[in-house]
Amino acid sequence: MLTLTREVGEKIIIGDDVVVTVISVSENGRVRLGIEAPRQIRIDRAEVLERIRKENLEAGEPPSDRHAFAAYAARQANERSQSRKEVVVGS
Amino acid sequence: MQTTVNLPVTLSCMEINFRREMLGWIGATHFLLEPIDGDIPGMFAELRCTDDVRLRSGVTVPSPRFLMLTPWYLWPEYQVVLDDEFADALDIRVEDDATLLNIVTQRVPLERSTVNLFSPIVVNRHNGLADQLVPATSESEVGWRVRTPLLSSGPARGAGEGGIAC
Repeated sequence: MLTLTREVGEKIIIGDDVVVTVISVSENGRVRLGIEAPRQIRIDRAEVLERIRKENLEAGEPPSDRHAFAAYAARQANERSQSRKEVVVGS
Repeated sequence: MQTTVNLPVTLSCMEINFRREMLGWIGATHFLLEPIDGDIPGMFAELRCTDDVRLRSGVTVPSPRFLMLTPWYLWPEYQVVLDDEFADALDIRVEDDATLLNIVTQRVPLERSTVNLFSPIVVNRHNGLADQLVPATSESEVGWRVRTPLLSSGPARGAGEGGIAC
């Protein structure tokens, strides 16, 4: 891994068109970065992306019966909707 | 500017083309969306990948299928904000151009199943162009979670007006 030391306001350039600027560093160690890059380059927090990636992988695994599951979930939603209406009517 | 997307959102069978491959599934950009008939037509759909895909490890795997939820049946107040760049990339000019689908993760037992409300699939319903929204903030800041219980769900937050703002 390449390690660089930069001060607030200084930049690094990645490739031809990605510019990272150190905006600020707080006393508790939080670093604010400004990033300029072409829009097709995905810029996200690593831990957020990883969580979504893992969830997408789990969700796309060979399914059990989707139609039966959808029917079951819809029935539950209907029942909950009915019970909410009954509460409103009865109150 | 905010506009409410009113129910019912009619899902029709359509081709969905992701602007970039779906996170986790390398090569997965082309999909077919097929509504699932049931007690509440339009509530669920299957999103079936039509590409050859592989994992990060390089292993080729069967093309994935996803169970998708139209969120407003369970969370009428559901709303996300699209920034201009995200909306432009999907050619979304007004809120009515877009709809949202959320990926369901089925688990055993079924009661452990969840839906990803944090990171919805945004679809231009005119041309089928899609992308998964990755909010720039955390789940607690957004208020919607990656693993939101599906079957025990009530409204997850206070009442409000659902829709897409961009």
